[in-house]
Amino acid sequence: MNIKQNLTYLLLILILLLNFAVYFLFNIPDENREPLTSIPYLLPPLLASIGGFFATKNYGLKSKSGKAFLMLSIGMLLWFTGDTLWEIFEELLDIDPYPSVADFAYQLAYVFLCIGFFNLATLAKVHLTTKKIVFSSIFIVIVSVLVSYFGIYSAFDPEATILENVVGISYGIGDLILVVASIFIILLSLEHFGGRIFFSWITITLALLFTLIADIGFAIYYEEYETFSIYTKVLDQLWIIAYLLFAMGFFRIGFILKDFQERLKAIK
Amino acid sequence: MPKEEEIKKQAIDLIEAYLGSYAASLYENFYKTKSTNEVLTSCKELLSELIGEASANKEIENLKKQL
Repeated sequence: MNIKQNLTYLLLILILLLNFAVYFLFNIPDENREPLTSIPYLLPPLLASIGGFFATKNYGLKSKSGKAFLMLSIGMLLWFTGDTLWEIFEELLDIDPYPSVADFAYQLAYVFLCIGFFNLATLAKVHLTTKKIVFSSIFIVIVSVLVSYFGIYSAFDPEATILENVVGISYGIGDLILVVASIFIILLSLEHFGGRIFFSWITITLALLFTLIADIGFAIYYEEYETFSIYTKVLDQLWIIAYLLFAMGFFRIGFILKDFQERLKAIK
Repeated sequence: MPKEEEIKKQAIDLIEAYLGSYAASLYENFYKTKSTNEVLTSCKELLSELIGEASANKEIENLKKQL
């Protein structure tokens, strides 16, 4: 592991600790809270996006993996855009950010992420066994039921506008697609057990699972999230961890590729 | 295309899929003077390090079956 790699991982850990400190340890007065929590909160999705583009660059856009990672990178960038717009609306403009163009960015991200993850899954030849099929089916059914109930069925509010309901339910549908993407990445991880890339896939799998947990939690505790309560703090930390895991997985893949390239140049 | 050239091309395609286009271009030059067996052994070693021995073996076996 070289210095750049170490510094990158150290930066990710520091940002995690900074967010934890800002949310849980510092006793920040209410009127100052939002700006001070927003800036550290926006760093993880930004780093996830940068990590994705770093992996994309090292694959190269001619390769199928490079194209798949480009989709993932754009997805992360759209999530960062959505988060940034959310903060601008809420803090600077004092406008309710839901629903808004921020939601458009969040949901467009799902499209790119799905394309990216599915393309990655089709690149590797996953050997399906009975055990894997059973495990995948159980996982998909359980998580889909949770997402469908809390993210779609419970998200419908007869007193809300059509737009609010469409936006709310769309998040649930997006998460259902991420459930399927998660299982593909889990199978990919198992397939590449023993290789250097295995840990990166595991990291990305955990990132997807943390995202799903946070999204389900948000769907359940949306009203409590609106006031800066313990629900807000915990859910925001889950999303922060998810983004940082994405960043770690993407950067790690980029560094692995770079390492191979350096060794090949030396052989030449 | 002669079988040897086809094997080399497929091996390069595998490397491009897993390691990217830059690595593939470097190996394309490297494999020009290598025999088929050397190419397959090299590709298998490379992939084993990246994706594990079991997956690498499967990829090489798939490559051989196609030819």
